[in-house]
Amino acid sequence: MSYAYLFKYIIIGDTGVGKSCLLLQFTDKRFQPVHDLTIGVEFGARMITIDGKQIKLQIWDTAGQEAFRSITRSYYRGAAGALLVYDITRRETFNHLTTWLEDARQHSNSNMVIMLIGNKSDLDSRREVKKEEGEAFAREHGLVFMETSARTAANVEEAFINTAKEIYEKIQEGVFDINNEANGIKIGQQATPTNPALPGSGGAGGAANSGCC
Amino acid sequence: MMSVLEWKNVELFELRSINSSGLETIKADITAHCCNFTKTINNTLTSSTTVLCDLDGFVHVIFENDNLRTTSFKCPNSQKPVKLCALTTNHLLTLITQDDADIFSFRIEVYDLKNLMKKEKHACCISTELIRSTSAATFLQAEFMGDQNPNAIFAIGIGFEKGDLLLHFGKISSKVVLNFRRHIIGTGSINGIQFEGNSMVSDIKTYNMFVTCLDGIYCLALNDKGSVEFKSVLDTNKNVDNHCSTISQPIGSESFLVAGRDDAIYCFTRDGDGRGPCYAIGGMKKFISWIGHYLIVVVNTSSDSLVICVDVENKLIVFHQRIKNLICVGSGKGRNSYYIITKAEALNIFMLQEHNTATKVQRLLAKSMYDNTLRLLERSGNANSRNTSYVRLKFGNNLLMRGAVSSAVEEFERTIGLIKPYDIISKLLYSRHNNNLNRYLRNLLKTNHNRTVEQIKLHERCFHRESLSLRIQQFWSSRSHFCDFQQLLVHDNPFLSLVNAQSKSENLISIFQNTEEKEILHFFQEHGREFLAMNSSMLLETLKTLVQNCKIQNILPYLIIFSDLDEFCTNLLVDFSKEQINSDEGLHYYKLLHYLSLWRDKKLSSQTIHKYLKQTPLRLNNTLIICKAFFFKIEPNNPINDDTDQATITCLDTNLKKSKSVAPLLSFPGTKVLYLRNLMVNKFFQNREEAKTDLELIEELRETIQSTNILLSQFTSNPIEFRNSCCDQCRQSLHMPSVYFLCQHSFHMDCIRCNYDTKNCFICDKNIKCNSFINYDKIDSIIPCDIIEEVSNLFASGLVGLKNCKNVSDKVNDKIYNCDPFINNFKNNYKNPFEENYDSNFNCF
Repeated sequence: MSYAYLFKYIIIGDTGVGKSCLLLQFTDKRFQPVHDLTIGVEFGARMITIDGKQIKLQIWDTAGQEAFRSITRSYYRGAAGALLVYDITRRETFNHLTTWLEDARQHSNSNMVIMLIGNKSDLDSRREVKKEEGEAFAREHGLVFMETSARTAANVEEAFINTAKEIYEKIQEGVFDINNEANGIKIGQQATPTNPALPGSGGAGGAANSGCC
Repeated sequence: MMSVLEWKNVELFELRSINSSGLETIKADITAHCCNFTKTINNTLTSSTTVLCDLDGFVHVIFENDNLRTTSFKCPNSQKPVKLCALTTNHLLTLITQDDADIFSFRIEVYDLKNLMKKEKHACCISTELIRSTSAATFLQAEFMGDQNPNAIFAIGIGFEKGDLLLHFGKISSKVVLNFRRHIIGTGSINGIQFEGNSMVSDIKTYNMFVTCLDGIYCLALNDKGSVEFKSVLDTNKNVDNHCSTISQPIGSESFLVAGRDDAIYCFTRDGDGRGPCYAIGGMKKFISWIGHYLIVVVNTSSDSLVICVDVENKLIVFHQRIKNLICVGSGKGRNSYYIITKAEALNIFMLQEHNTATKVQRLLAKSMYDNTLRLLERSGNANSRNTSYVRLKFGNNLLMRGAVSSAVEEFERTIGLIKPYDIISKLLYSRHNNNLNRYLRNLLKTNHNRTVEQIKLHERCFHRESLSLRIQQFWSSRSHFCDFQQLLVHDNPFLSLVNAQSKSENLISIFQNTEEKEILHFFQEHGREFLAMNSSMLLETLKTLVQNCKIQNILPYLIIFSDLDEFCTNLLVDFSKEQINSDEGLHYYKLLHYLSLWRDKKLSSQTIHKYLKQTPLRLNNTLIICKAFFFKIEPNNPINDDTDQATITCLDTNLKKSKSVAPLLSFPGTKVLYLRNLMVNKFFQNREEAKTDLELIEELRETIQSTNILLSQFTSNPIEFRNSCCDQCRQSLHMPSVYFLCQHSFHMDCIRCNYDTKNCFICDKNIKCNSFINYDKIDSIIPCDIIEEVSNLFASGLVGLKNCKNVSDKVNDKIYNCDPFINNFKNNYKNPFEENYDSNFNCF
């Protein structure tokens, strides 16, 4: 299926915070209460529409365990967006956010959009991290924040789509060098670039470079 | 290192030896091997051929049609052993021989093996050529693309040590004229070439060629006009080498180029969009193959080879075995079957074959992997069979047990027509499952599968039950309604009903309309104290209304129920006296008692009592005794009706004489009851205090019972939902088998088994012990007498040791330390069953 843009996402965070469940809810619209441990990196894709344009999201769901850090680090570089996930019922997953963020900032491109997600919002009775704390962390580090529930699907779509909107806005503003696929963005056949940073809008050869769908 | 091997392991493949394959006689070392398989339209394999080349220069061809047949021949043009070989689906065998001393030239030969298939002794050589090269050849791939199409393409790719590639890409004819062109691909040694038919663009058929080098993966676009175009770099990685590659079957909507590296198996989208999933299987990969849903990986170890077969869709390890002296793995003819060839003294051939569906289902069910079983059955085209329905029934039962009722009913619904409805209905009869039963029955009746009258009736009942709860809800929410006494008795909260009814007095009376006084008394004996705790004024009003309407004729039992509440009883008696003019004399004394209690508590003036005494016909001796008991002095001019002598009060109560303790005293001559006055007064006060304490105790117990009842009702009416994702012992993700306690602690079964023999939750056990330690009795025993110091110590005991109380706080800390289940576990050399997977910082390795 053809698309205007392809955005690559990476989902990171401690083990057991619900990264795979978020992906499953977003791609398959279902929740699996007992999920096998992610070993390595899992993969999902879905089409969304932003500003009337078809956008393909390719999502890498990474293993949260330290043992896989060397494998998952190699995925940061090609991502345009990252979902940094913690579990609102486990304080330690929130405490580890700084490490994850440092890792992401070190290995990714500087323009990567990072969305901070407090997952399992349906388990409010077991909450250990206040929403205000998440908001404060996001404010402090310049992230977008949202609380989600992969179980009830609350805010799951919004988390992925809002990240895509942020990336799309950055493309429109010319922040992303979309000729460099290492930034996690690929132009499809549908794209009609409107700013000078986009290939085809000014320089020659841009359209020829656009890949197939 | 943690790897894919952490996934659930179910042996769905078996490895069996094949005898009399003709390979037993081959003693020479194998220098090259390759295989092919041919497919029919529906993608099933019809035949497979494996080629083994030995050090003596012989080529052994193993055909598998109906049986296994081996034919050997020697290449006439070359005396050297074959270094690389490749076989196409139409049985064109390409061989490369190269002298180790001269790496800059090699001979390539193409044989048509169809002769051998017709049981001739020699293969037909259709082309041979000596070619110059820049370095040693490292990989050979040959592909026949186009099946029976006259424009079919024969492609040969030869990869070299220095990253360059020779490519022959041309139409096939009876005599193949090899026409190689050199392409520089990368810098590292090439170890994988994959051809793939792509699409038609303006009548030109295009193909993809994926080249895997040690340090990168590249995609080239080819077309049948001979054009070669560099398309994209799928990945470059200078740190980790690629060892081998294959093309995967579609995962979801995408298929990938799969590369085996030391740390993992990486997938790359073939259209150059980037990376796909990654499977963490560590070790030097010797071979990878992806057929259907199965990824076969051979990992070289120092002593042997590890063969792993993974169902990537279901995340299952379906085969996992170490095999010594493994030469190669090739595709077998059957669905999901592979040849594994080993060489000890001679060659041995094994067949790695998937079990039949029945065995696989049996094995999966034995491990309670119902969802995997269902996927397997769906995959094998048995989605709607009776057997599948039985699996669904079991899965539904399992989900029901786990509390996932909605999901369970979803499974049950899919068994309609195949499983007896009784088997399902019987499990959903509880009122809490009413909605789900209704849902199941609705779908059952829709399908017309032997619908019975009983099922229709049951559906109606379900519907009625569903609407009943709604009606009850409406009933209680609209307070204009009232119920009768029998409904009141069965209602969860009868007092609330009474309160609702109280808004109209006729409502209240109508509740007790046909009720006998005895039943009313029982009702208040049972619920009276409860009502009192909730709203005493409302209770008083209720009783007053009942008195006014003559529903209560004998007030005395009610006074006993609320005997400790003087004000309440007094009010009730006042009202009762108004209604019952000729009330019992005893009630007057009762009223006096309560008046005096209120006077003692300074809630009533002595004038009121005197006024009461004046107005009420009471006997003097009784009045005096009662007043004396309360130290109340009667005014001398108080006109108490009495026919006895006021000068002396002589207690002649026969009951007193019957008293076992007093009677012996009275038996002495000259002893008068008056002498015992002080003794009796003291005893009276003592008894009264004791009674008070007892009443307080009863009240406390009643409150405890009440709170316990509330807790119990919460347990019974609110199902608990477990969503623990990790073990409370080792803090790792839960996997089966796991134990879930009602207290919502969960553990791996192994964690429980490994450390504890108890069937109780050990965290809660420890907490209870810890809490029982921190009670006042125990703390009292270790703290000083000074109250200020005591309070300070209590606060300080868990935080810091105070100057003079360090010992105390240390003791408290020690006790708490010993009672903490987590601290204690480590202290007692707690053993984590997965600890072999972690370093000292609890990081996995």
